[in-house]
Parts: sequence; C-alpha cells; structure tokens
Amino acid sequence: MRMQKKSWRIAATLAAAALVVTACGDDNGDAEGDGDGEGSATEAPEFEEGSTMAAIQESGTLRVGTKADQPLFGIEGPGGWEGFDVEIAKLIAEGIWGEGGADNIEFQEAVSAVREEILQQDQVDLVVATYTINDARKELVGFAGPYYLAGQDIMVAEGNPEGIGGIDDLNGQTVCSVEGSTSIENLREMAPDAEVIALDTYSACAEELSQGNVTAVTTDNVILMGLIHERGEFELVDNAFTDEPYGIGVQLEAEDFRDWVNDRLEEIYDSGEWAEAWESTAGVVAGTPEPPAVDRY
Amino acid sequence: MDRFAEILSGPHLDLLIVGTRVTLYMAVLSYLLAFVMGNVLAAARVSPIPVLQRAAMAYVSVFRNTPLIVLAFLFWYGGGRAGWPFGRLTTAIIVLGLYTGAYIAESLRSGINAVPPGQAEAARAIGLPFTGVVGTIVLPQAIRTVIPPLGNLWIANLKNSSVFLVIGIDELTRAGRRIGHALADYTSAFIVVALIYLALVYGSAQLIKLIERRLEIAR
Amino acid sequence: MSEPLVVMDGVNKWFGDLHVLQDIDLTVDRREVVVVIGPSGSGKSTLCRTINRLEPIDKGTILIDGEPLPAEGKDLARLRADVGMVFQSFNLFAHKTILQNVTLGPIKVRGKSKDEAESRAMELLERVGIAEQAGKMPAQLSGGQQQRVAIARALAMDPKVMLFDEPTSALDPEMISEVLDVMLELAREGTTMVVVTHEMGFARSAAQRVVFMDAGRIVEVNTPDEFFNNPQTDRAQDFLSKILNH
Repeated sequence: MRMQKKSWRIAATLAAAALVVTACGDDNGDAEGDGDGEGSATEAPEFEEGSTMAAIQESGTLRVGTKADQPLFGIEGPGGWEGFDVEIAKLIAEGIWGEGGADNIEFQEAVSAVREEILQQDQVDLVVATYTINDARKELVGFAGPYYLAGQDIMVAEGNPEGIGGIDDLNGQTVCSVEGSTSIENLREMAPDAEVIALDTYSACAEELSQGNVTAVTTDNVILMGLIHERGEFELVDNAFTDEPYGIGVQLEAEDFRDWVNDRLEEIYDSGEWAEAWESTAGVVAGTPEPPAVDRY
Repeated sequence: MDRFAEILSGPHLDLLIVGTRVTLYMAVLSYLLAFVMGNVLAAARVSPIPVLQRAAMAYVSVFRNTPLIVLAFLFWYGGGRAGWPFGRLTTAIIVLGLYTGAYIAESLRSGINAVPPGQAEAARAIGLPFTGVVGTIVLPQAIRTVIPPLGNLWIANLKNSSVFLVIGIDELTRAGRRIGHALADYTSAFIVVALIYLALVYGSAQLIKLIERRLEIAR
Repeated sequence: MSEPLVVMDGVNKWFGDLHVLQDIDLTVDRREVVVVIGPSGSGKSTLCRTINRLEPIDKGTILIDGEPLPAEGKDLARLRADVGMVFQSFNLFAHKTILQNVTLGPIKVRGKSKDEAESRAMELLERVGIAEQAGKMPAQLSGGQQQRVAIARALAMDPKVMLFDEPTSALDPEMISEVLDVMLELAREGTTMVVVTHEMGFARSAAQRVVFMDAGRIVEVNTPDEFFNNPQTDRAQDFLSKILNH
C-alpha cells in the first residue's frame, strides 16, 4: 500500500518537475545560488536514492499534521498556519528543499486522538502537534526530538500578586484545573493543601482567575501560554514541575527520516533558528528555554 | 465486587461522604429559599396589584424557561463580573433556590386556584388585610393540596444540585467523576453515586408521605 | 330619632354590559333589621356584597356609620372588620378548628389576646349552641352547625352591622330553622342586620322593613305587614304569588 502510494507520488512529481523545467527553465538549484546565506539550509541537499527524504524531496510536498487550535504552537488563523510547531515544521522543510522549502508544506489538522492513525495510514509525513513522547506511542510511531520540554506549570494573575514561584507555593491557595486531567491529579498530589476547584475547561479556569476566585490555574504550560496569549491578563510562573518531552512523530518504518530529522533539529539548535522560532511564537509569553538534547533511541 | 469495596473505602469513601453532605446541604438550603420565593411569588401572582402580578409572572417565565446550567454560568461568571458578592457555594444555593422557587410558585398558584374563593372572601370579610388573607387563609390551604408536587420539586431540586459541578462545587456527582477517573471506571463509580441519590430520594419520599399523612389528619 | 348606619346613595354597578345595580338608594338605621327579597338575578346578593365592598361599585356612594367605604387597602380592611358577613356557603376556614375560626379575626385584626379571644369565642359558640364542637374541624360539622359557627365568627368582631347573604339557601330543610332561630335571637337583641333571604317567615317576624328588588332596582320598600298583605307594585305581587303558591 505504502510503496504503491510512494511510487505514484514519485511518478506524479517527476511529471510535474518536467513541466516546471520546460515552462520556466529555472528551479531551486539556481535560486539557492543567490540566497542571502542566512540560516542553515540555503541549499537543497542531495539525499540518498530511495531514502524517505529523497522521496519527499522529489514529491515536492511535505505533509505535516499539527494542532489547529493551540495558540502559539499550532493554530490555523486568518493568515495561515502559525505557531512554534508550525515554525519547526517549516525549518524541517527548509532542510529538505533549502530556502523557500516551507512553501512546500501541506498542513493538516491533527487532533490528539488521531496523531498515530494519520501517520500509520500515510496521510502525513510528520506530526508536529504538542506531541508528548512516551513508550506506548513509540510502539506505533517513530519520534524524533524531543524538540521542546513542555511541562505542567502555573498561571497567575498579571503581576503575580500572591508571589507564586512554584508548585509548593500553591498549598493554602485556591487553584483551578480540569477534572479528570493528569494535571489535577499532579496538583492534588504535589500540593496537597491547595484548595482545588475542578472545572470542565481551562477557559472556565481562566475566567475564575480573571475574576479573582482562584489564585492560580495549573496545567501544561503550552495550554497556559495559549490562554495568556489570548487573554493577556495573566502571566506564566515559568517553573514547570513535570516533564513532557515533545517529539516529532514520523512513520514507524521511516527510521532514516527519523535520524535525519534529529540531525536537522541539532542543526537548527546550533544555527539559532530554533530559538528564533520560539521567540517569534511562544516567546511572546514565555522566556526562551535551552533546546533539549535529542534522544536517538 | 472488589471494585465496589474499593469505592466504599479509604479516600474514595471520604469523597462520597463529603459529596453527599454538600449535595444535601445545597438541596436543603436552596429548597428553603425556593419555598420562601415560591410563596412570595405566588402571593404576588394573586395580589390585586398589577405591577406585582406582572413582576412575578416575568420572574417565573425567566427562571422556568432558562436551563439551570445557563443560570449557573450566568450568575457565577456573569454575576462575578457585575459585582455579585456571594461565594461559590452560596451562589449555587441561591441560583438553585431561585430556579426551584419559580416552579414552587407555579405549584402554589395552582394550589391557590384550588382553594374555594369563598375562603378568601370570608377572610376579607372579617377585616384581614391582603397579606393576612393570603398568608393565614389561602396559602396554608393551598400548600396542603400541593404537598405532592412540592415533594416532587424537592426531589428535582436535590437532583438538580448536581448541575453546579460546572462551577466547581464538589458535590456528589463531582465525587463520582473523581472516583471514576481515579479508578478508570466510571461505570462502577456512577453506580454507587446513583444508589446514593436513590437512597436520598427514597428517604425524602418517605418523609413527604409522612408529612402528607400528618396534614391529612389535621384537615 | 333614627340613626343611619348604612347609607347607599345612587349606587350603580355593571358586570360587563349587565347593569346589576341601578340607582340604589337605601338607608339602614342602627338596630334596624332590613330584609332584602326578590327573584334570583335581581341583584339582591350583589347589593349585600357591596356594603363591605366584596363587590366594588362603579358609581354612587356607600357610607358606613358616616364614613365612606375606602378603596382596597388597610382602611378597607379596618372598615370590613366592623361589618359582619354570613355567606350562603358558610366559608368557614377549612384548615382551622371551630374555635380558631371564631378567634382568628379578634386576634389578628382586633389584636386581642388569645385568652380573651377564646373566652369570648366560647361565649358566642355557647350562644349559637356549638360550644361542645369547638375543637372540631369545619368539615366534621353539619351545614346548619357550620352556618351557626359562621354567625359566631362574624359576631366575634363586634360588628356594627351584620350582613346575611342567603344564609339558609345552601342548607337542608331540617337545618334551616336552627339558623333562623339564631338570627331571630340576634334581631330581638337589636342587632343591625341586612338579610338577603327567601325565608318569608323570617321577614315577617324579624324585619322592620322589607326591600323588594327586581332587575337591579329597588322596586318597593315597606313594612313586612304592608308588603306581604298589600304589595304596591305588580312585580311584587307577581313575585309573592309565585313564592306563596309554592
């Protein structure tokens, strides 16, 4: 199934490429020559024949699944796809095609429940979607990265009036989270003397915080950053007390691709593009962290 | 069976006990408020003053035609923005009381209509003012005829208290969700919760029957 | 010599298009017993009920002991306390005992103490012959007994005037006399009474004046002797011939 799809794609791409050549007489190869030299991927590398990267490069399209509703990470706004995950995907695309490679990305929404499925069914090449690496998922998909260490954090009112510095300070405070989430269990365990208000959505928690009914809201920092970005009246304590390593999902068999994405991540760590990607997205509400070491399992 | 033993011991049992206590506390206080509201509204509905009649009618239609969960959000979040001064549990009790009060008012009104008009005429004829006519003669008789619907409203009120988990009240249904989540077994947790509600409702039904019989004798 | 207690002057009332009281002028003196008779639908009950404003009027004035009837409110309630009323269907408070029925007004309206109200109530119940039933509920009494309690309830307010709105019409025949006896007794004691009734015997023996009404108007006012033996109007003659043949 997969091979069939792939060969079809190669054929289609070759046909398309032939058209482009005859029509324009120009292609990436030339364009790279007069690039401004910034970034780590101004030139399209040559990939080994038969590799996943070569197939993608030839196909001219990188199919990426990402969140469409996670502000600062993956969101489909009026100006197109935006967010840190989107930027990471673009940097990977530039690794494949060089400068301008980002234009070859075909984004699609990947809600949490379908992230494994769309990789297994070859609907996407990559999933960059606030995707936590864990062992159960490693059975189903491959993970490059982590490219970001998320974790449970705390959101407080602007100016942090109660001076909350971390999880321990939540004891004796009224804290909101969502019932049934891992976050609320962590809260009950790690700050047993907090008065826990359990609601159904984080937006409701944000409303509670906004009205001063609670001192803090706790859950994944990514969700909190999104709320801060949207409402602007809160701030992040920025002292995560759990680890959620976010990885880039690839198809399980595409080990060459997984290795290459890891190489590419290290490249953008070194070039500073990773930090730039952060600063232009999540960086508006949280400081730039150190990039995490990739884990080549 | 082990699962139920697990739910009915240790921290899970504590959650159920606290949840049941909160549910009962809410149900009793809100019903008292509802009863007072219902009487005032029903009196206003039958009063000779058009403004009062219309105000009571408007109140009843607003509270009966708005889902309780919407009222909960509206009073807690909307009210919070508008300077509503009450805390979470107090708000829940007030909203539930105001809501059930509208239904009690309607029940009482039908009860009042069932009281022969001669009763009110006789009361007016001995010189009782309107409040005395309604409060001493009409409502006490109306209440007798509406004990069964009032009992049903008590039960509905008790069950409706579960709605307030949406504004973060740790009542019985919330306890069920917490236990269900902790054990990854919502079915068993909610079987237990359902049985507790059943016991509460059954217990109150017996109590209502007792009150009904009492009033029957007194008639 | 005569002291007007109830004065109705140019009283008119409509039920929708129906002109139920037309230009009623009637004065009832203190210690006078006036019996109002007439065919059903003549407006006699309505007239009786306007005197304590259970039926508001559309035109005219009604004075009770020199005071005009106030509109709804505290003043009206106060005035009603001075006007005793006995209804066709008794209207005892169904959820109160016989004793409570009689003491309720004195306690709640007159502000009497419970003890005072109860001893007075027992006196009155004694007078109407129901004292031994004081602890019962109204539904446990016969119609005649209930109506006697209703009379005691009205008397307990020490009213200036007693209104009787067909007090025996809802009673079984064998109970009528026990109620009439009480009313005759009151009349003899000089109670001011306005009685709407079909009991011609009562009218003959107790009334100082008989008021005959038809179609919303007072057609004839006379002493009982004159009225029954020598009615002045055709309508009164017609009415009397009908009921006396029965």
